[in-house]
Amino acid sequence: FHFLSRSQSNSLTTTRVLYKEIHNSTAHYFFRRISSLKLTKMSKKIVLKTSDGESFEIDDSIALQSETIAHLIGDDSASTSNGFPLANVTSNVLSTVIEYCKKHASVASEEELKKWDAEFVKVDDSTIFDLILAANYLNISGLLDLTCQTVADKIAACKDADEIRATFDIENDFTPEEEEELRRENQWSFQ
Amino acid sequence: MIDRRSGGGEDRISLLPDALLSQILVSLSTKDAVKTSLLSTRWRSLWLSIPGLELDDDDFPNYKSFVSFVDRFFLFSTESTIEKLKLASNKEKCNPLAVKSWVDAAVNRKIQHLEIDFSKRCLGFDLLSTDIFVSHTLVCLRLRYVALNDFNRVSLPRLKTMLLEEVRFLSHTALESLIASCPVLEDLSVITSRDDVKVLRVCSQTVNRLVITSRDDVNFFRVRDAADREVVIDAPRLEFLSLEDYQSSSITMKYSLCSSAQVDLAVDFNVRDVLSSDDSAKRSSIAHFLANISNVRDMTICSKTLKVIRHYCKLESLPQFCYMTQLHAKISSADLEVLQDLLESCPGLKSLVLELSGSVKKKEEISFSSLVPWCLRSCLERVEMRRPIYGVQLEMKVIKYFLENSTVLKKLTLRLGCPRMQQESMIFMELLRFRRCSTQCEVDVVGLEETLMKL
Repeated sequence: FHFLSRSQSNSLTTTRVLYKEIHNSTAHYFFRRISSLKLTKMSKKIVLKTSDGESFEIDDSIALQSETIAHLIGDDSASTSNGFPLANVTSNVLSTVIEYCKKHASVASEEELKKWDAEFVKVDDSTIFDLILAANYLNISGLLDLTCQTVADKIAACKDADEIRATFDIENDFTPEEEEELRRENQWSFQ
Repeated sequence: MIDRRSGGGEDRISLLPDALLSQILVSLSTKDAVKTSLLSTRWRSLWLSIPGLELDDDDFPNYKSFVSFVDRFFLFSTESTIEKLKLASNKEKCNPLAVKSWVDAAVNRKIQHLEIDFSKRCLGFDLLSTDIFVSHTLVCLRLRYVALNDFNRVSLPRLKTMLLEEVRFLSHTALESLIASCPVLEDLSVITSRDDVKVLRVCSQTVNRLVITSRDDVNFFRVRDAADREVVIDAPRLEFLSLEDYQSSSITMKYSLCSSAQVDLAVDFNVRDVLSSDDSAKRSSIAHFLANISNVRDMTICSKTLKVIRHYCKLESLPQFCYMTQLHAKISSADLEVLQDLLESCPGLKSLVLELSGSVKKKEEISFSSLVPWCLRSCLERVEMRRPIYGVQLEMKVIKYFLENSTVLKKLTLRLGCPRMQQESMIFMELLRFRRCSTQCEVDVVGLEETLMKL
C-alpha cells in the first residue's frame, strides 16, 4: 500500500514530496525536490569585461548577486557589444568573485555555505583587500560582509596596536608626544 | 599558522576608504576598535565614526569615566546613524538617566541592534525607557535583567530577533502583547524565573525558533503553587523549540510541530514523584503535548523528562514519532527501561546518542524484551554512548543489545572512562565476544589513539 505525505518548507520555490511504498517487508523512501522556478526559467548569459581586457560569460542568476550589475542590466546604454565593462576589477579578482557567487547561487545548506566561506577566505591579505574593494564596487553584500569580518577577526586577534601594525604593515607616523597623549586619553582600552 | 606578514610590505588596509574601514571596525568590540586609534594619524579618529558601540563598563576604572566616554561618542556626530549599541553594566552606582539618554539617542539614530545587559549586578535590575519598543529600524533586541514600565504602543516592524532574560514588566500581559506585536519576529528567547508571569503565552505567526527557559529563583524559597503555572505556545511556523521548565504543570501547544522541526525538552509537567493513575487530566495533557511534537525530525530529551515518560508509559502508550531520524536521550540509569519504549516509538530512527546519567555501578538490572524494535531492524545506523564507560554490567548489556540486534548498524561510538589499561583490555575482550548482527558495523572507540600512544 501507498501513503503520501507532503511537508511544505518555508521556501517558496521548493516542495518536498515524500513517498513511502511498502513492498512485502521492505520499505523504500523516495525524496524528490522540485524547484518550480528552474522548470520555467531560461537562464540568460551576461558578459563582463574586466579592466585588463578579459571577458567573462556567466549566468544572469550569478551576475545578479551584484547590485551594480543588476542596475547595469536594467540600463540599456551601459552595455557595449563586448558586454558590461568593469573598470575597477581585474580578471583574477573577478574570477574569484564569480567563484563566490556561483557557490552562493547553488543549492546548499546554511552550514555547508558557512564552512565553504571559512575556507574561501583562507587567502593572503592582498587578495582579501582586492575582494573587499571588488565586493564594494560590485555591491555584493554577502561577500563584503564576509571579507570585512575576516579582516575584523584578524584585528581582534591582535593583542595591541603594535601587533596590528605588524600584521598589516602600517607605519606609525605619530610623534612620541602625540602617542603618549593618545594612550592617556583612552587608557582603559589599552589595559 | 597564518603568515602575518603576507601583505608583502604594503599597507593596503590604510588605503581603504573610511566607509569600508568603518564597516570592518563595526564588528569589533569598542575596546578593540579604540586600539586602532594608536595605529597611525590616519586611524586616529576613525573609531569615533564607527556606527556602533559595544562596551562593558567593567573595562573602565570607574563609572564616571565610562559615562564621559560614551557621552563623547554620542556627541561626536549627533546626526549620524548608530547601527548597534551593546552595553553591559556591572557597576552598582549607576545613573539610570545616562543609560536612558543613550538608548533614546540610539533609537532616534536608526539603531538596528540593541543589547543591554545588567546581569552581573548584585542589585539586579534597572529601568529602561519603553521608547525602544517604537523603532522602525530595530532588527535585534536583547535585554538582560532590565525592568520596564507599562507601554501602550509597540511598533517594531523590522524586529527579527528578541531575547528577554529576566525582564520585569509591570503587567502580566505585557510580555504576551509585546511578542504578539512583532510582525516579522523569527527568533525568540524568553528566560524568566516566572515570579510574575504565571501563564507564559507565546503567540506569534512568524516565529520559527523559540527558546523558553523557566528558571528556578534561587533567592527565594517558597512553597511553589505550581498548579496555576502554564506555558502556552501558539506558533504555527516553529522549526526549533527548546523548553526548559520544571515549574509549569501544563504545557499547551496550539499547533503541532512540523516534520522538519527540532525539539529540545527539559520539562517535567510538575510531576514530582510518580504519575498517579487517577490523574487523568495530567495524563491527557501530557498525551496532547506528545502528540503535538510527534512529527519532529530531531529530539533531545533530558533525564527528568524521561523519568516522567517512564511512568507515563506504564499507563499509556507513546505516540509514534514517524519522522524522527535523530534522538539524543539523556537517561538516568534507574530509568533505563524507558529506552525500549522510546525505540519502539521511533520507526525511522537513524542516529541515537545515549547519555547515561546517575550511578551505573549499582546492581541495576535491565532486561530487554525479545521483540526487537522496528528501527533497530531496519534503519538505525549510528549509536553513540556519550558518557565514558567503565565496563560495568549495565553499560555492557546496553552495548550488547545494540550490537546483537541492529541489522544495519554502521557505527557504534564509545568513550572509555577507566583509568587503567587492564580494565580497558577487559572491555575490549568483552566487546569482541558480542555477536554483531550487522556485517558493516564498526565500533569506534574515541580516545583509543591516545591509549595506544601510552603503550
